[in-house]
Amino acid sequence: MTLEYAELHCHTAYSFLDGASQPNEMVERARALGYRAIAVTDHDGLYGAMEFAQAASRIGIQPITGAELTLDDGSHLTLLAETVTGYANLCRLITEAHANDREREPSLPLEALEARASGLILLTGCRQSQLVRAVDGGRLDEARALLERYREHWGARNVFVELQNHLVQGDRHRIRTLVKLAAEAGLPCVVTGDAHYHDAALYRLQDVLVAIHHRTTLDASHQLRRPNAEYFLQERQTIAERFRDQPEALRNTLIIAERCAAFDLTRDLNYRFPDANTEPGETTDDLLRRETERMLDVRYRDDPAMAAKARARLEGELALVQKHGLAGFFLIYHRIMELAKEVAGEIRGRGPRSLGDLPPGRGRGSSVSSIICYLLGLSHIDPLKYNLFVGRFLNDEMASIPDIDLDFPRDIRARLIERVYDEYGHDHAALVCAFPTYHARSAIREIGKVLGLPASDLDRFARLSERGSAEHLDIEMERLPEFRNRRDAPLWRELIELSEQIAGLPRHVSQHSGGMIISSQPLNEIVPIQPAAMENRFVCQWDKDSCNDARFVKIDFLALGMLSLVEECLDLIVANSKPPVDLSRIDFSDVAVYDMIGQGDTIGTFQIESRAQIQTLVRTLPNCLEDLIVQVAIVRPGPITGGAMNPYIRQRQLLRRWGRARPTYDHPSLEPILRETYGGILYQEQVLQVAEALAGFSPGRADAFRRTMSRKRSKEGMESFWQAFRAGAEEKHGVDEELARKVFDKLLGFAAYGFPKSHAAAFALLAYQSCWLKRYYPAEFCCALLNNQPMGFYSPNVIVNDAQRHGIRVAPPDINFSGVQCTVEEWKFERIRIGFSFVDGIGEDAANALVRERLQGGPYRSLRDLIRRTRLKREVLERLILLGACRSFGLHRRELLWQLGLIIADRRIGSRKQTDGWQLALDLPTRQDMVELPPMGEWDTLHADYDLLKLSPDSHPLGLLRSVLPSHYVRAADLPDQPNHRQLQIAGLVVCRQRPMTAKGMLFMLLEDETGLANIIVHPPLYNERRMVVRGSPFVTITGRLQLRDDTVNIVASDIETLDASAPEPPTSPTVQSLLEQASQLRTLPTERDDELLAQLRLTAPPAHDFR
Amino acid sequence: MRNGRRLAVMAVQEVWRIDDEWWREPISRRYYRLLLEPGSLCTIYHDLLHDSWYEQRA
Repeated sequence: MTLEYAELHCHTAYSFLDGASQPNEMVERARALGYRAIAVTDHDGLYGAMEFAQAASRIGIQPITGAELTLDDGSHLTLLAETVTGYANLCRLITEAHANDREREPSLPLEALEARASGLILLTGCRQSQLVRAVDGGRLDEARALLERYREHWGARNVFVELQNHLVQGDRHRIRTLVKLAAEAGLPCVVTGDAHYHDAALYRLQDVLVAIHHRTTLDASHQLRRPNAEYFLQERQTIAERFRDQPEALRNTLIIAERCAAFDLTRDLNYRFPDANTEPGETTDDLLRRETERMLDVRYRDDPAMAAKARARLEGELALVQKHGLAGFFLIYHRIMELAKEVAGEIRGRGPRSLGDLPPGRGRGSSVSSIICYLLGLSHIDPLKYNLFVGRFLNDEMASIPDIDLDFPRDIRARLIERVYDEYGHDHAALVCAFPTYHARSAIREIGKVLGLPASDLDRFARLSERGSAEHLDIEMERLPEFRNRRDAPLWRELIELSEQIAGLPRHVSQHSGGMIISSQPLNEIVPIQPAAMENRFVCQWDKDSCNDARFVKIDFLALGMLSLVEECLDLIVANSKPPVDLSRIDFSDVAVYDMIGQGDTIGTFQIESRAQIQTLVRTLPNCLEDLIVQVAIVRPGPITGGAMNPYIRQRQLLRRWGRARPTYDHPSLEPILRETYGGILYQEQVLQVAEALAGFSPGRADAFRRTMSRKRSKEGMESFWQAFRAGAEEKHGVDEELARKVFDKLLGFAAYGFPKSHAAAFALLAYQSCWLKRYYPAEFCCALLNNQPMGFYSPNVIVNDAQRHGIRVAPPDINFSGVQCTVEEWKFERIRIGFSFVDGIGEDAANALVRERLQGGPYRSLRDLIRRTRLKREVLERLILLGACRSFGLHRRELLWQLGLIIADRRIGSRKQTDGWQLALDLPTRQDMVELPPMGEWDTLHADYDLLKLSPDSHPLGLLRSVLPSHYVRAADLPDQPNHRQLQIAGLVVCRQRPMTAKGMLFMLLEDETGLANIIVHPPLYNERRMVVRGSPFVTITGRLQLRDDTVNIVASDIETLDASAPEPPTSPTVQSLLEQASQLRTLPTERDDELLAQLRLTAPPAHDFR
Repeated sequence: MRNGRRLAVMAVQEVWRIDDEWWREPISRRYYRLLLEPGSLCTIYHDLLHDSWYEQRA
């Protein structure tokens, strides 16, 4: 008869760098083996507990919630939750264990466990337990005392002596001793597997994880790794044989499982929203109605017709909210927004940012379609004005709590989080965590290191690989000539196999970008809480998916760089003695702004600045906010793979050329839905509306369809929806299968990666405002953009070069003019002064010290004066000098460096450790010791700028190289004037590479020279052939064909090479050749020094931004 | 068999397994600590990769 068994001790990958299997893999394997139940007992955490419980419930095996806790002496104990109280105690224990997370690994004294024993079943632990250590050490009296102690605090029926047999030397003897001790103590035994992976083949990966965890190699970790490959979920027959002398211990696995069935994590959490402040006798629905009706009267008081529509819309939404019991949910958000207003008031004070109706934050996502959100201030977009469909956010059949995401400027967000903690208490609010997983580059570096592969090879391979999954390193290696032949070589072969196994495994705990959960009861009874990396912040141990499964109210506070930029820009405008701006009252139909947008002049603006966006803008020429809404939504994988983007562009061009568009619709019922997007599906709401209109889906079913397509699609699920769609379309409209299929495929193509229109509308408004600021306040805009890096699509050097091409001067850091941040100076003309914070190696303290002392004591008069007053480290002073920041002292850089050496003779003097009480050498004049030194040339200056600032306000490398480059090389600014299809060459600095999923392997590159940017298209064959250059060279020469189409300018590359100063002449026509010969007599010939300088510059050139 | 002589196994005192060095020269062995008649102990192992048997020398 086959053994009945329940596994009560196993580890998933959420025992970070110890477990090698995902929770669903564990449960699926347990089910396949015929286990009755399975407990996941990860180290000091319940990170994967909800995911595991959900997976187990889906496939019909009983999940048991537990954990393996670490005691202060490093030993382990296993605890299983039998009841709700037991689970709450487990959460509290884990929270306590992590309380001092920053100083040490989580652990607890045994007394702490004893104080919270109720509802928990104790298993005495693995080979790392106190009991087994005592037994292995021959200290049997100690072991007896321990068992007695467990029995006293947990009770005889709640303590089980754990027996494990992994064919490790000593197991048999250990088991016999434990059985004997258990019998003496009157305690039962139980068999456990302590599995760390679901399948035997993963034992190598588990070895690797242990080595990574201990930051060592496999060779050096012999004592740390498990001795054999037996730590997987075993066949029941094997378990039965190994424990044939302990049948009762085997039966006890089932008895414990039955007891633990009383608690189900997917069902018994008892989470509740925090209570709202209702009046006596008032329900939350009443309060919500009161608040929203009050604001409706305010918002629509000047437009009775719209007010009537708004009222009808509000009634519909309130009815849905009442049906789903969500009034409390909205009221919490309302309270959060009120707190945000308070915080914004404190931060903005009475300054320019407080002017007008600038909201403290803005909603995004599908919630922007809700009039309730609009009236509560959670959205700044009127859903009626922009015809926003609410079904995506709220509908009759919704199965989960809707998401409301809020964007804030960084400073408001940071303080708001603290305010929420104050409002609800640290026990009732926590941030959501996230689990970064292994991708290709991390897998290469970490697995390669433990395998002992050469670090330089690993670094190169990682840099040249595509970002993405670790699953296909063999394909990556095949594509790289340097690595192609290593695919079957020892260790490299293992790297490929192990990377495939590690792909997607969680690496560690991190903080989600903005999610926070709030609860009416103490959170640490529902989910363990642990300190986040930032001081005074705490995260719960569940990620957003588990929080959703638990039906927590999760508030997303996102920091949006553009909001911070906008607020700072408003401050800078006033600081520059200009009238304050009220962004809510600007002209949203300004032709000059739309002209700028239509020219693709959008670098630095919100959402419409990418290479792909610019190429689309010049073809569609948006001229109103509705057009911008489309623009924000259209450059996304959804509209592209759904085949909606190009038709939209064509219709816009027809409209421009002929005065009207001619869209077509697959069916008349789709026209009202798709008219505004010229027949294409551009918004997520349209997916729902099409499914409803054509196939008669209910709103809930349509949304379920959309969600199924956007999450991991199952074949069966899609097939089921297709059948319903086909049948519904036939029944409702008599539509044949071919047409139904055509429309269904468009929906499939779109659904995964599209924006809701409401989200696009929220972003389009901000996009316009950013463009307006760039158009009318370019210096302030650029300055704020620099100060809020990192953000956006472009690096600071591109931003600065763009600003300069617009006539904005950018001045390098100066000891007597710079602030900590960049500032706008009004001198003879407006210019941006780079701040000290941009200088590499100058920290916040040094920057503040420089500015503070200058404000107090006046400008610095000399190098000696600077040193005396600031006591900066020599290294900091050198950097300032190298950048030319001390130019006002009347000496050039080399002279100042020499003088620095005379003033601070020894490198050690001036270091922080020795500055207290140190004196300058006697204040003797240095003039007599100065020598004549040539000033730094342009190249050296550029090199210093790139090295220390990652940008150069004064020159561009291509500007310096131009005289030694072949004269036929075209400059970026001259491209539009060239004949279409012309073969040409261009050289530049690579500032961006993009290889979108929708582009079928094509890579798009942005090249910059001293005159502007050039778009380069690299087809897959060339990319594969020249990948090392494409991915690795900062300066390149492109040979290709010019493509001028619909006001876009691209070069389709036929070759790409690393740029050398002495690049050979390309093959050209005889006519051009003779011209070149004439030109070459005039131009400067490149020297070895140019190549050497270029080589140095390659090392310090700002890295290109890489996107998918 | 030892030195041409058959010895009966009185008991298997212990069984354990080692898996290691898989990234180099893999080792996968199952060890047996045997009590032989007339009372001596020995350790043998089964090389699981090559399906061969060895006696572990002290």
